[in-house]
Amino acid sequence: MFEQTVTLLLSGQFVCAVSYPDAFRFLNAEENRKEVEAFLGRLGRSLACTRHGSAWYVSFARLDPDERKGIREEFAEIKHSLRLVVGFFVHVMQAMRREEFLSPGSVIETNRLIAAIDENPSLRNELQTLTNLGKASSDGTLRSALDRLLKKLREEGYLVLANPEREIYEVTGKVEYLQEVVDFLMVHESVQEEVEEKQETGNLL
Amino acid sequence: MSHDLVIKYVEVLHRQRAVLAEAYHRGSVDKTDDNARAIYELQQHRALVPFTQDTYRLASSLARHLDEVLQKERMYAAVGANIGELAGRLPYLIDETEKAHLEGRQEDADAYADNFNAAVFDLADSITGALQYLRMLADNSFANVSTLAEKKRQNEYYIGRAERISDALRELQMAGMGESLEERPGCEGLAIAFRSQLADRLPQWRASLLDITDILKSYLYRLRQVEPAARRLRAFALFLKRNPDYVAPDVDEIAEPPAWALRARPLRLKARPDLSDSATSDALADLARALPLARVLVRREPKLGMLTDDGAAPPIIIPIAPKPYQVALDRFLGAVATANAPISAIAWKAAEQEFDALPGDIWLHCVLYEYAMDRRRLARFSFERVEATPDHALSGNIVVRDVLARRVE
Repeated sequence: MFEQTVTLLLSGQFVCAVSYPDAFRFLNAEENRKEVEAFLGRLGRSLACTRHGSAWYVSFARLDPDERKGIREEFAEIKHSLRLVVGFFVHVMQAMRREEFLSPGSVIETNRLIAAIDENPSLRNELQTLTNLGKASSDGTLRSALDRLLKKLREEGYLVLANPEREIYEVTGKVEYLQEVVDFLMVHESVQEEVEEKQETGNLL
Repeated sequence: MSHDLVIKYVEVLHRQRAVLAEAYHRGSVDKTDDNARAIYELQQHRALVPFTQDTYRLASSLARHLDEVLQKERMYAAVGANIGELAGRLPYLIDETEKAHLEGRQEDADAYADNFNAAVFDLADSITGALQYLRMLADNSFANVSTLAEKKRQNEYYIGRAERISDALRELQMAGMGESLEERPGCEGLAIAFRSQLADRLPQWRASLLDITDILKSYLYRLRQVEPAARRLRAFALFLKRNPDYVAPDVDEIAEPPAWALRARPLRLKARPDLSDSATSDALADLARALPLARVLVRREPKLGMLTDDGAAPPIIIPIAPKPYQVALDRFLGAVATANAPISAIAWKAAEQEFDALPGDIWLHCVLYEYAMDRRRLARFSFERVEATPDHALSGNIVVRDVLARRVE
């Protein structure tokens, strides 16, 4: 299991109970984790985990110019997809009337989601906007737009297709990483949480 | 036919299994002409109880048993509710066993001992069942309810139940029942069941309970984190919507990058087989054999130089001879090109004996055809038809007697 786990980590994957359950179990055992950490340490890397421990990933152990370049590239990717990913998760929460965050292991049922979006014009428009953000061409139907988005999120590592027959997706541990990015940017940009209610009231008036 | 009451009872359940299953899955079963007899029989055996008029439900003990067997989740299940009461029976049964023994009532003592053993088993079974149920709830994160508030309430409720079980286990351990049984007359036999079913398993149960409580509490902690997380995500999404040009800062602009920003760039790993390693050579050979054959493209370079005689028969050259009218036309045009005056086609042919075999009308037709084709090579010539007067003015016939050709300057 060591080989598979280290290969996954070095190839940039987030190892969580949803995406790679065996590797995740392997890393949860302290002695295995120490072994992996020692190996990564020799490559100038370290094992990191998301805030609530739902996913493991690899960080640079030091910050030399080369590593800085690597970090910049990684962050550029996050920046690039930030609007789409944040928008998607908020969209799903709205459509499914969920007040809580889609934590790792949360289930997204495509059929229920599309039915909920279909009956709400505002959600339909929102889906269209998201599809444009993702530059995902579709044949114009809601279903195809949603399918493209789900595919994109799968490629980005935020979702896995848990049940292909019923088209049920599961949220991976990478979503906790997203939450950390969002929390940091909110502090950095001094974004107020109350802004949501003000906006909604503004729209009503 | 067996006379054992248990066997008879189980046979009734088996015979009426369809009605029982319907009552369990639907919550109740309606009485109809078809199932009236089955319902009557099940009611007689206390497997069904009346619910409303002509509607019956499973007896709660049977429903509970099926829930346990099928691990069906019930909201706010009274997990471990009877553990305290079951544990409370044991001291009474021990006292009665001892008294009966001291008073010489051995049959009564045996009956109390049987009851004690059954109570110990009930208690052990109840604790095991409660722990399994709590473990299931802890592992599936209260998947049977959808909202955060419900999950939170259920979580708090089951933490309370786990604490009650923990208290009951502690009391059981503190009571020192195991030691007293060995000292009390007539109770030595009880100690065996007590030790094997309860005392020896207590440490394992307590460890399991601690583990479950730990999971439930950490899940509760996470649930309390989830709501603010959702609020922040929504607020940030709104911020992005209101600031369509917003671009997150570069890492270089951040004075102290947070831990998450240090995520390493993926390494592109690629391994190649070591062809000199004998340990893998067989596997590589198998792999190579399984590969589809590559298409061999033979590129033939064009040869420059002389053709060499390869002994083949020399090529047959068949010269294409021009037809007589073509030769005649060529000569006629040559003559026109050098003449200063127009030349009559008929007169020219008559002068050329070589073309006597060419009939006059055919010749004239060839010249007219050449003229009608308006070829580039005729640009230097002009042609004029010499026509005869038709027999009748309105016949539409054009009778050509000759063609005069001349050079155009």
